[in-house]
Amino acid sequence: MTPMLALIKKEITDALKNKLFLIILGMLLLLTIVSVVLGSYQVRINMDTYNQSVSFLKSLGKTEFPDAPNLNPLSSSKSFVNYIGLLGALLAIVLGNAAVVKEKRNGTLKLILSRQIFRDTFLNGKILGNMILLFFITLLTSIITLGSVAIISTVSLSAGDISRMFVFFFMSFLYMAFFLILGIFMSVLMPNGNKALLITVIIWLVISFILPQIGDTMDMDNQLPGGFFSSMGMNKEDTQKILDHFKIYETIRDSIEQMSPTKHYERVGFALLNIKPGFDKNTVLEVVLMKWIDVLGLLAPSIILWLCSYMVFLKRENIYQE
Amino acid sequence: MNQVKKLIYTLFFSISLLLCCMQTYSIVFANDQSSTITNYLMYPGETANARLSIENKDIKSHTYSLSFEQLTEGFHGYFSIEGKVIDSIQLSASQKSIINFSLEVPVNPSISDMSVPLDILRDDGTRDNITLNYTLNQDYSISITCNLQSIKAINGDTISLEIGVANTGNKDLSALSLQVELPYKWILERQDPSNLDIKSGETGLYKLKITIPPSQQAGEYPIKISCSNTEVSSNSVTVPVTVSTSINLLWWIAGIIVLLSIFTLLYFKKHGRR
Repeated sequence: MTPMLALIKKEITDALKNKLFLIILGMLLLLTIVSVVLGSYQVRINMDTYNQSVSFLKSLGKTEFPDAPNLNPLSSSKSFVNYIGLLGALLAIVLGNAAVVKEKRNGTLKLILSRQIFRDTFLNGKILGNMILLFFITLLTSIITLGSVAIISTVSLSAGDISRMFVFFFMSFLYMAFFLILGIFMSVLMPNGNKALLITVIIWLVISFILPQIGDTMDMDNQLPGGFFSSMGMNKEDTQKILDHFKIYETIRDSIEQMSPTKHYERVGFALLNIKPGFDKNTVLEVVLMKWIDVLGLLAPSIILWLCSYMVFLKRENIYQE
Repeated sequence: MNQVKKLIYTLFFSISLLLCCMQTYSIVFANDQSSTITNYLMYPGETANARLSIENKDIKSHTYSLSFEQLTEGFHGYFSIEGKVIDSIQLSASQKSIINFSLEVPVNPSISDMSVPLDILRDDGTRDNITLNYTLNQDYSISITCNLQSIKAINGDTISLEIGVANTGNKDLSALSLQVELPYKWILERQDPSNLDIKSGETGLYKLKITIPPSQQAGEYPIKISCSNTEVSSNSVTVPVTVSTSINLLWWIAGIIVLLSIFTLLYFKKHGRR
């Protein structure tokens, strides 16, 4: 077994013994099951209501029926976006932090690195091992979701729906992978594991809650309940005239939002799940191509942090100190 | 003098209103084997309403099923009472009710005259018929078209559209204005001209310039356009705009990642693998 494979295997075994990881994983799976089951039941209720209306019209001898409502079985995963945004990110942070800190605390980091395992191989093993773990978690949740939707909602999923669902779960994986790498980066950057965890959580709070909130708060129309412009009695033309003068302001506002991987995950996720209108006629590939900026918004920070982790870990002399 | 004028106008409007009401009021006696023919005017893109009175002259309660024959393609019809769509009505003994038959006329009807036979069937098998004859009023009619079926653009772009307005009616139209419904934060930079006067049988052209905000997320967004003046309203044209993000950003980010990768390699080369 190569050192890398041994490290990957060790990471997975260690994670399954980590109580905090298991608690967060349990909560995530429980919330996923509850939200998907409830969502699927809602789809089923809507479908039953429509079928009853059609049966009633048939009994009256009608041949023209109203169009079937847009049930969108994929929308049953809407809450999952929020759960991954919260618990998925925390799960990945815990994994990322524990990956390096546990080796320092147990004194095994010195032992591993003394056995002709390079520091970059050590990091690769840690990152890949945890990424495999996250991949299996997302695969498990996707199977639970697809199974629940198919069995409970009684709505048949098309090949397009299934592919959208799988790509959505892959985006969830990319989102969690970003926080995993962030956790590892902070734990190699900072000598104190607890401080590293605290700062990672603060960064998570900033990019997941504060940055999107700043973007929303800076939106002029969000200043008053019901919309600023309509509250001021402005019509569309007047609104457009005002917005015309705020092009730079709008660009700054958008740039702040673009800094948040959570916002990117939400945007691509809602497009794939058809929650945001305007993507229902596109194939999954078309949606991904249209939303490439959001996919890149998930991928690019992870790659940059991965490369930075190599450089920081390579240069640091006091890596064994906790 | 003004008082007299006001009186004359009031009388004129009252008589017109009365005539209108009389024209759109037909009586159906659901217990007679009779057939009535009534004439109505229909306007392109509008709904022609016919008011019908159904009276149950029997001594017991009855249910009346309402139906009509298949309409010409593009036309839609339905019965209603106070805005609620119905296909039957129950009347107690000697009860009378007024129902509405609405005929939705397409913007460009393929026919200028049509007859709609209405059938009223009582639950004991008694049947009544009434035929509504419709004649198309082609004085005021317009249709609009867009030179593009769909648009692909990058956020921050300004797109150009040409909207053709055809006067398909018999009379000249003046002060036709365009109504443009844009997605939130999109800007109508220019509309040339602001109003159009179009003679019968002729076509006018509006040129539009619309700016998509740079912050617009990628996706498909509809632009809804219609044209109207005090006499007539056109059909609405919806043009889907597929917005994508500028590819320049991709090159910038890819460039940063490549540079950082090279820097990492050089860093490893300088410090050696540990």
